[in-house]
Amino acid sequence: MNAATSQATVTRCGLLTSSGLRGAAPFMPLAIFLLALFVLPVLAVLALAVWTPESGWQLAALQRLATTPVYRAVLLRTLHIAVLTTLLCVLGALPVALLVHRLAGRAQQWLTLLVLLPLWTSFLVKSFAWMVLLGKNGAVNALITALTGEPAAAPLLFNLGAVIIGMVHGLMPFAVLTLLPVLQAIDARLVPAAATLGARPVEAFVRVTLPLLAPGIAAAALMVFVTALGFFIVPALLGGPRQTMAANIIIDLVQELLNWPLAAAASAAMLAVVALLFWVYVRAFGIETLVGRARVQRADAADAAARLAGRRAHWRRRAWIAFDAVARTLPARPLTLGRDGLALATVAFLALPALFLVPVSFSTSGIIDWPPQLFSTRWYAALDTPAWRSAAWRSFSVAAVTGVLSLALAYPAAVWFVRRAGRARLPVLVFMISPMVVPRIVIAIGLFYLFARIGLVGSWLGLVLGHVVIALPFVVTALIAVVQGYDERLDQAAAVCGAAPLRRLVRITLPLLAPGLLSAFLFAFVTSLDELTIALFVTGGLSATLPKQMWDEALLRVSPTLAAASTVLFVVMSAAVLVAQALRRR
Amino acid sequence: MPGTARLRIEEVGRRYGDVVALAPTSLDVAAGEFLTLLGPSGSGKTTLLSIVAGLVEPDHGCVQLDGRDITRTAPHARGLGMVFQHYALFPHLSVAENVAFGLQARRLPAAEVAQRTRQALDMVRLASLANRLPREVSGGQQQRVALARALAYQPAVVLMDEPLGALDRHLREEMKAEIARLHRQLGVTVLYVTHDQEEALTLSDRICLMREARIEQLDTPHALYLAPRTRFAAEFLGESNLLEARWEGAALRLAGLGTEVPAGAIAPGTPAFALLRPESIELAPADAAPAGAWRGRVVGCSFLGAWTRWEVLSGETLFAVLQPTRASTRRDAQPQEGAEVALFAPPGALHAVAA
Repeated sequence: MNAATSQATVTRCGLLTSSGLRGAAPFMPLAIFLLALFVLPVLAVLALAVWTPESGWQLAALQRLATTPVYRAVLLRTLHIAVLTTLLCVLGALPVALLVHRLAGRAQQWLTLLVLLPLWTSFLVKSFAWMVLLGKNGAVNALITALTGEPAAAPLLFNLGAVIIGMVHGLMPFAVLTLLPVLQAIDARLVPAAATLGARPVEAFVRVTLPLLAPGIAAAALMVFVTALGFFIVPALLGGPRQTMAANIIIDLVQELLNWPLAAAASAAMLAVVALLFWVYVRAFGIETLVGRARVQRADAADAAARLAGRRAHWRRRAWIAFDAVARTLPARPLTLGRDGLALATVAFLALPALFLVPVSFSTSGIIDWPPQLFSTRWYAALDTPAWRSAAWRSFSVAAVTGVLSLALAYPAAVWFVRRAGRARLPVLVFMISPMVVPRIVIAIGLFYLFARIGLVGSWLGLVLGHVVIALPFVVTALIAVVQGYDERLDQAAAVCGAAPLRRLVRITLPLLAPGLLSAFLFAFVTSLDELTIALFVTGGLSATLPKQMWDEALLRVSPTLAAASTVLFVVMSAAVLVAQALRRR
Repeated sequence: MPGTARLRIEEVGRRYGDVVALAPTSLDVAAGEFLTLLGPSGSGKTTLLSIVAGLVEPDHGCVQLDGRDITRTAPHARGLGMVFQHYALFPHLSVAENVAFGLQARRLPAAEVAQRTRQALDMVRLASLANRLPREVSGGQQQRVALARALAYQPAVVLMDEPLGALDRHLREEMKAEIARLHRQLGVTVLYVTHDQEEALTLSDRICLMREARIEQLDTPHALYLAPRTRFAAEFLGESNLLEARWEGAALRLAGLGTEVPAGAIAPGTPAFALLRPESIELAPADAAPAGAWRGRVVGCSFLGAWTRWEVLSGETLFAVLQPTRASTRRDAQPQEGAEVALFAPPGALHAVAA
């Protein structure tokens, strides 16, 4: 009796039912959003390099990019700066990550915070800080004067060194944060195990930790390189004409010269480099390490590392023997001290510069010098203009709505991904995090191109849509972790106890997910609050966001007003980060 | 009224793609009965339990509770209690709040919720830990919270999915006694899933042995142990000597030894084995062999405390033999390794099982 068959619905009181294409419904809003506002505009703008409505198919733009000395020089320089930045970031981040990992309890929490704060400090704020430090009357020159007695001759700004310092300072926290989860995924018993087999600490590190950490190092390098490639704030503020990078050129081409084909060609060149590296990375390590989920593929990754290192094991063996011979001559204790000292110095390099803006913002004089003459709040009063106030309002409202919209799109997608994606997992993950690996400047001109056609340039909505594209990869990654951490059986247990769906949501699911959801929201909020690239193109003259307002002001004249605005932004963002961290720890 | 429910499972089946998780299965659980689904992992026992709970929807068949069809009823409307594997306690709610959860879901007045929560906690002797969070109590205590949560609202049927799986041996013994006590005391109907035969034997009124997504044998613990119908059932419960048997006409005889085995329900001609439980075998010195005994040589001997276990090779056949330890037994009076002994299966000790 009653042998009526029912459709294959799996877990009735789970968060989702059914499977197959119909079951992918929760993923669809995010998929459609990214297709329409990321894939489509980026492809459309890249196509302009070889095809325009006016002149049809043509290769002139690519040819011009390849043959004009100025452009070639800029592209090569961009690569050069990005490679240099990547190397320094990874080298600096490694001891910091190891130190954070090795510490426990409060010390670890504090050190993590000291890395997190610079991560979430606006690139603009960080660049202004270096202007205070490296300017003609800046803190570093003041220190030199104090030590040598000779007045400083020139600013330390507007050269390659300043650009590299600024970029390394800006990007190294990303490297640290990419390394940490991979480091945490390494079985803590392996190093002691190596020790019982007779390996000295250096040997255990080089032969056990380092190979297992390889995918993390590669991921950190990839993330830093991609971001560095599309950087324009630091070269514009800290560099001279000889440090102009590709992104600066693209901005000029689109905004001043209206030469879309050439901008598209430069974007394509940039994207080609990124795609190549991304492909190599995914081939070697898989994509999971890129989103901080090394655990799943730990063994595979180690395998891949071995493959990359070449199958000729005896070369590795020889390299090790040579290294070991050198290492044995070094005394152990100074080595440890040097390592930790280096790590702490690096953390200081990351955390301190932004603080120099605080006293400057209370300066009485109108020029930025060090030490500032205190004490006046006139620069904060100077922020109380309609332009700043409307920018602040726009920034905060855009950030809040970006956070809500990102969550609304990412949450169902993350649940679907974790519970039901099945074989589609890998391509889906690549798709969802792809805005993270496409240089932001390319996304920005793509959106500008699209929005110009549908009348969204200069609109509040356009900003929100753009910021959601940028924030989604981070929010999705965070939510995937949140959903994975939630035990679906708790929902089932509540159901069997007699709780109807609404009661389960309110009493069980939401309370348990709330910290993770709020933390992801703050992620999106802070990302939007700091965003300049999209804002640069999408906002009109009268609809600036805070970063856009600061950027326009900085191009005009660097005044303590910027220090005041930076201080306000710094305090707000730090508060958000602290709240997010506190929630995460709970 | 608690304890009077009757659970009827009719032709219930479930597949996942090409994998049959549960072949069409029928099963009745009487009011107040303790019925255990026993089997190795992948035998379909958890799928069956999940279908009863409403966590998995069957492809076909129906589930009835007191004659009411609940096959399409949502889990929260079935009125069952369930103890989950690893408990699934709500980590953000205190012990008392976990226990009160089902009572609150039934919208009982606050005073009654409080009173019955206290009762349930007293029942599992956890009143003193009411305000702790689940992670702040021990594994055995978490287990008792899970029990109290499932029993607090006096469901007619309680489902238990490997509830003792996460406990160490000592705690498992203690909780086994606790579950038996609660079952006796409350008269509730229990459907219990485990892969542990001792749990099944101790607790159950009936055991439903499962294998490869279907029922292998449904019987009382006693019958399942002493009169298994198949080789699988014989081997899954306890230790067994499975001896090759051959049909000689209508008689089933031990291969090589010639002893006749009562064929029971086994049709003549179908392949069969003879089951001889190690503790049913009697051991005697070789020179005092009773009639019909087999001769053998001791090749292994291990002292297990309450039992001593011998391995005796007789012809080609290796027998396991278990004998109780008695204070009066002197160690040197027992057969040692290498000794020639006589083995004897008393009448009724041999039992035929299907191959």
